[in-house]
Amino acid sequence: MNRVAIIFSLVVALLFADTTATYFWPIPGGDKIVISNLGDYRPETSPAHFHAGIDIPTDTVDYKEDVWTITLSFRVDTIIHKDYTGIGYIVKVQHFSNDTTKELSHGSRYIHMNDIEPDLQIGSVYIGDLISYQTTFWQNHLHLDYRRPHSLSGSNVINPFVLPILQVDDTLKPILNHLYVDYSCHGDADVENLNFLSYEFDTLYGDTMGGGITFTKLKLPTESPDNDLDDPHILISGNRKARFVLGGHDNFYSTTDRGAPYELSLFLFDADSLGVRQKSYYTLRFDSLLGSPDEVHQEEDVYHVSAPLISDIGAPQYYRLYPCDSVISGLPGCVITGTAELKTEDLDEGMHRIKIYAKDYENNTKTADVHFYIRKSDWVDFCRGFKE
Amino acid sequence: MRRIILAILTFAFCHLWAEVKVEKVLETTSVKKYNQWVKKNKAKYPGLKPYYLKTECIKWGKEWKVYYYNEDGNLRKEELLKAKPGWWLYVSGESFLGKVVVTESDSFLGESSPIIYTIKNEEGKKMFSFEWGFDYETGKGVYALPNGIGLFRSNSLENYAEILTWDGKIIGRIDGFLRLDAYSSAEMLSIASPDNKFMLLSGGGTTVYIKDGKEIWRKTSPSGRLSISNDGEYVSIGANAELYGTIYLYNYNGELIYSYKFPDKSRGIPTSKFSSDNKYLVAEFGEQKSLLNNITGEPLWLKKCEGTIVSFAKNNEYITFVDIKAQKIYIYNTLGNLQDTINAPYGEDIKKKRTKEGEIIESKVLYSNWTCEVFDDLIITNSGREWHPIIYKIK
Repeated sequence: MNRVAIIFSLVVALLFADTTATYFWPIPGGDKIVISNLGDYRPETSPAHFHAGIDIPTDTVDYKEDVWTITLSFRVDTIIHKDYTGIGYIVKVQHFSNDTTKELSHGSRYIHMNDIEPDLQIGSVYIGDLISYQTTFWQNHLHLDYRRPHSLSGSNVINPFVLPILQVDDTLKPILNHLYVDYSCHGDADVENLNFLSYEFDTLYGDTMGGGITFTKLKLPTESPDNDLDDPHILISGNRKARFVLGGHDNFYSTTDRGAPYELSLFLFDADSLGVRQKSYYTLRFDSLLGSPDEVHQEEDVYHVSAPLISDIGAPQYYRLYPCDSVISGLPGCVITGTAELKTEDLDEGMHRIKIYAKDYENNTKTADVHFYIRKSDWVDFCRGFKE
Repeated sequence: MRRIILAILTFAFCHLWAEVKVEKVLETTSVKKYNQWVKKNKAKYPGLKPYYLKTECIKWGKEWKVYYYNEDGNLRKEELLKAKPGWWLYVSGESFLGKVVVTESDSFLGESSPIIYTIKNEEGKKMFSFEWGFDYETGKGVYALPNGIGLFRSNSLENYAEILTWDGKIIGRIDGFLRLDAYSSAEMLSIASPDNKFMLLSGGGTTVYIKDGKEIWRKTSPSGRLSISNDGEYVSIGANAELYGTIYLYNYNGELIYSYKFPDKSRGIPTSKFSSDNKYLVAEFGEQKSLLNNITGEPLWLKKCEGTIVSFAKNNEYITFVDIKAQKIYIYNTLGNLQDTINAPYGEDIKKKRTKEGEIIESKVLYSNWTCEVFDDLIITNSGREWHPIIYKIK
């Protein structure tokens, strides 16, 4: 009889087992919007860091929201008390299948809540419970990050947008403001504006200075397809070593947002007797923040953080489009998927074109072209330059 | 075996006829009444503190009001604190310590902003101020130390933490330790002996035993819920490994004296409390409760009952358990027999649950954000919703 009862209960358990996981937006009553994303640069007194997740703004009427975990079932693994941290509670959870029988390979972390459920206990597993009831938020947003595995260490943060439920409507293209030509710090070249015939590009050309370093600043206007004459044109001579830094950002639902583009890439278009060839050089992609904890804080590999181009939170962000010196000592390989260096000093004499692509997670893409003439001889051979 | 039976019989003889009766001696929402009661009974209960201050949020993140009370419960002063333009301002009050912690940060810099801390005393006078950051990965930042000893602040670049008194004096430094964790909103993973001489800090899986601000030993395993005896002689760590809960007991030198493994599997972390004479350790893991002989680690009894341990009470005659969700306080004798039950009258609350389909279901439950503390024969409860202390006395 006992055996029958055991078999019966096993069959019932199997029939009703739900080893799938259901995912949710963490603030169900609120708008599905974010104001920051993975990779956004966060300089701090100690230490600087890439933003490890998404920031969800809270209701601005009474500033109160319920906060739920993104999976139905979860185990609480860490609670850092709000205390005097100046940022509110931190709660880290391990995700489970709906029926809690299967521990999933990931977890999530929630930051800034002013209150959490008083009976939330470390080590306990919950189904369908909220972690904070009608809480206010320090700095008026909820930070959420998605981790695989779920440990608190910064070496395993995944872009939350890989979960469809966390993808937000993003119809706005990334913004490309300026391309900066470094010709005296990591570069070594003479750079000047290239006006030719009746075409003048003065309005797109300028300098930016600071700390004794000058960059050429090229404005990146909205591109007109098939029209190269609205792009910046420059002449690179001398030792011809130029490196490029991009000023831009992504936005989500408002033009005042500041996030990191999901992907930035640099291509070179060159023409020869076989036609125009496109070569991919450098790609930054914010999929995850992998690497050892020591590597996590090498923001300077991705962002330009010295004068005059200082990336800062909420301010213009300056992305290096070349591997910088610390590449050798270890890149956060997580965000840089292609590290070929475009060496302008090795290019043939003549006209070249680079194209920059900035994509958000929704594949909204913004592009910009910059043309440059590499001069080795004493004069500019415009015929060579424009043979394409 | 005969000796054990004899011990149990003696134990039973001493306690079998113990009768407990709990009476409410104060229930109030008046600071004046509470403080005057504390003042009157301070000699008998030196651990009791008056209610010095209350903080009130006027505009979230921007404007706060602090009410300062003296030991008679009279309003000493009101202070309105406003954020600088473009800054966040948060005010935390340690009502029974008489300390106000003001944190200010530049909202433009958001999470990256260093935080300016200003500490004020029970009269609202600034004691000291400093600037500190918070690191999201390591958890380094500024925390409260247990028993109101002072502040803990850590630096992740140089990988150390400092222990500060409330007047800003640095009394200790701990290397390689950056954060303090909590088990719930009410319970930190840090604890100190009543005289504040000994302290256990725990965070990120490491437990550090500290005497007078100096580290004596540390352990990374086991990691769990902590308890320290009144004289600092013993430390217990409750840990869960593969759903088996074990209490580990260490001495002052960090040497393992005994461990006790609960028989049944459960989720959660075991917890324990010492009797003030160090003779007993009451331990729990889920529903399983056990009283251990703290010298030998031998279980005197093991039973299943509701609630979580608060403390031994009335000169170790009783053990108090609280079931926060049921709004009940249970008083057991040391034989493990229920002697009395107190119903805490903190009303109802809304509980929300989400279904797999995303439907949110609301139900009424008893309000569970209330606290329970024991001061010898006094049991004091208070509500997290509004200041509403109730003092019970075990006769």
